[in-house]
Amino acid sequence: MTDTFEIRDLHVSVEDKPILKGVNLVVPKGQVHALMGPNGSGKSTLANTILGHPKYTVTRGDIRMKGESILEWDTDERARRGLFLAFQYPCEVPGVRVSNFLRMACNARAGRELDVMEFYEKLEEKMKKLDMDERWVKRYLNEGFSGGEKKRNEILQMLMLEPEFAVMDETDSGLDIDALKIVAHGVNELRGPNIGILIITHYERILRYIQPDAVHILVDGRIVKSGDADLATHLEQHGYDWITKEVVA
Amino acid sequence: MNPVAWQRFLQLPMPSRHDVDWRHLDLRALRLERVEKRTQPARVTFRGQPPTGVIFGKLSGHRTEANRFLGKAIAWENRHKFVALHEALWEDGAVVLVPKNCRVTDPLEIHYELPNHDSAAFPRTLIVLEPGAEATVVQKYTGAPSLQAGATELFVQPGAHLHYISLHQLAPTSFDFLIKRARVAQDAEIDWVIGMFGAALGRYDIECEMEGRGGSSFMYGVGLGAGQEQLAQFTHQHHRSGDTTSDLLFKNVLRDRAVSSYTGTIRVEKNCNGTNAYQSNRNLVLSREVQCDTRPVLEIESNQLRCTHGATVGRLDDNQMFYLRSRGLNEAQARQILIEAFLEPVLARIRVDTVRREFEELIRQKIIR
Repeated sequence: MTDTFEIRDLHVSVEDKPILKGVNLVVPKGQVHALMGPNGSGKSTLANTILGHPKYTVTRGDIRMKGESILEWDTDERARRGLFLAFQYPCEVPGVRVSNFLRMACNARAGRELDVMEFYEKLEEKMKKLDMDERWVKRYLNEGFSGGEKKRNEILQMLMLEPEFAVMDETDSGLDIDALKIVAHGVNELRGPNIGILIITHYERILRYIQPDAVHILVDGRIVKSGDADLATHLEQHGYDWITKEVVA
Repeated sequence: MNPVAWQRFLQLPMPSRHDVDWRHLDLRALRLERVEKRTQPARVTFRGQPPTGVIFGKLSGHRTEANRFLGKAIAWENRHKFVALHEALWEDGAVVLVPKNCRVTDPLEIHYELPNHDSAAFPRTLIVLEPGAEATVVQKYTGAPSLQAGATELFVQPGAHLHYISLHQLAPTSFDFLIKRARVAQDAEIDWVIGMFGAALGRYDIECEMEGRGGSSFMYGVGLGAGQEQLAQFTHQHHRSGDTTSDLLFKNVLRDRAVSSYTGTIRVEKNCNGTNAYQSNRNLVLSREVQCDTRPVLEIESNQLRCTHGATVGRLDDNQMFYLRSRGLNEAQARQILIEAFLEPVLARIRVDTVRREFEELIRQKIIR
């Protein structure tokens, strides 16, 4: 069980307020898991904690990648070692061109200066898959991008960086159906034995295009139920109410 | 020596923190005793191949042509103490005079290498573009004098177009006082980029006088402060004619215990309808010990015009830092990217590639190192 991404009894606070209250989750390489939950259940807290956002404090538990605790690693070390977060709200960085930024990120991930020609060939190939034209990479990072463009840009980075474990934080929110299909296509492209993916979402919709191996439901900082893809369908039909009641009972 | 100016210099009191323009600045380390005896000329080197007809060289070699213009852009009488000092003691400098309709494609570079140690230098520069002329002029000031008080007068005559880049990088022990004023005539344009990269105290008065319809000035500046350096910027956008445009963006990056103060005046005279005047000062502060002050002054006497101003003082954005680091860039790389991105809108205005690279390299050495 070393080729896994594992969250053990994770407790996280934001400004001394406990948000996660003992999350347990194992995503093996080669699988796609979905984490669903109502608003305020702690989904984004989990995503940001995994990448070590300074606002979130781990008070108990552990996060382990391939058997090693990552909690002592800085955010950039987590990324270089193969963790990736597709942000729910990617921030705008005016003055930084997408292509330059991606090249620096790919060099950092590779731990060496990559051949420029190879880099651009790969970039072109990945952009084609996401239906992006070449003007895209000359733009400033996320500046003036529409919601859908920002999300596609996150997926482009994911395809370029080839992480070992990826967390997608509500990548589907704000996407129209065409954009959603493009994003799903990108994820399915990456899917395979060398990567574990955790899709965080409020809605079942994206899971129609990306078939999960397992579905977990997060309520009030704990995973209260896990199951297969049918669990997501059930949620779609019945909402989150029944599960909250079940938990209370 | 100009004795009238010298008297004026002697009469004016040493600026103190009680003067509004100097209130954030500390001049105590400046020694003015026997300053007139310590004067040493700057070594000037010229680079660039102008076509025949262009005057490009030491001011002393072209006094006849220069005399028509000297003192016509900067009236020193009502200025601060160090402008009077410059006027009293300046002897030589450089001149660029581009005749009518002449287009100079090669950038013309004037480099003042200032004397080191206990010395003072007072270079005067004159740049004149006659009607319809075009040129790019690059001015550089380097060295470690104890004092420089310099002046540059710029004349952009009707329909002329000047791209003017000026780079100031003195030692952290030098006191640097520079005044530059451009007179911009009808349908003329000046594109400025001023790099203020170091001095114990640097005071830069950068001014444009819009005196003909259709004239425009695009004034861009980047200032860096590290250690205990003090940076004072005074800009003046003076509209004496309607249908003129002046745009201004000054960006500063400050670290350690640097002090900076920016004062930006927009003055629009009566009967100057159709004026467009914009001013923006942005400061990026990298440490808690930095002192940063920014002050707009608007003196508007016309009614039909567009005028905006804005100022910010901010730190590196935590969310941007987290985003960049989440892609594997370490803290130093992420900072570098964000600082360079902050300055990009100014650097993008430099149309001479080698000079732009020089700016970038100096920024890296000073701020990012």
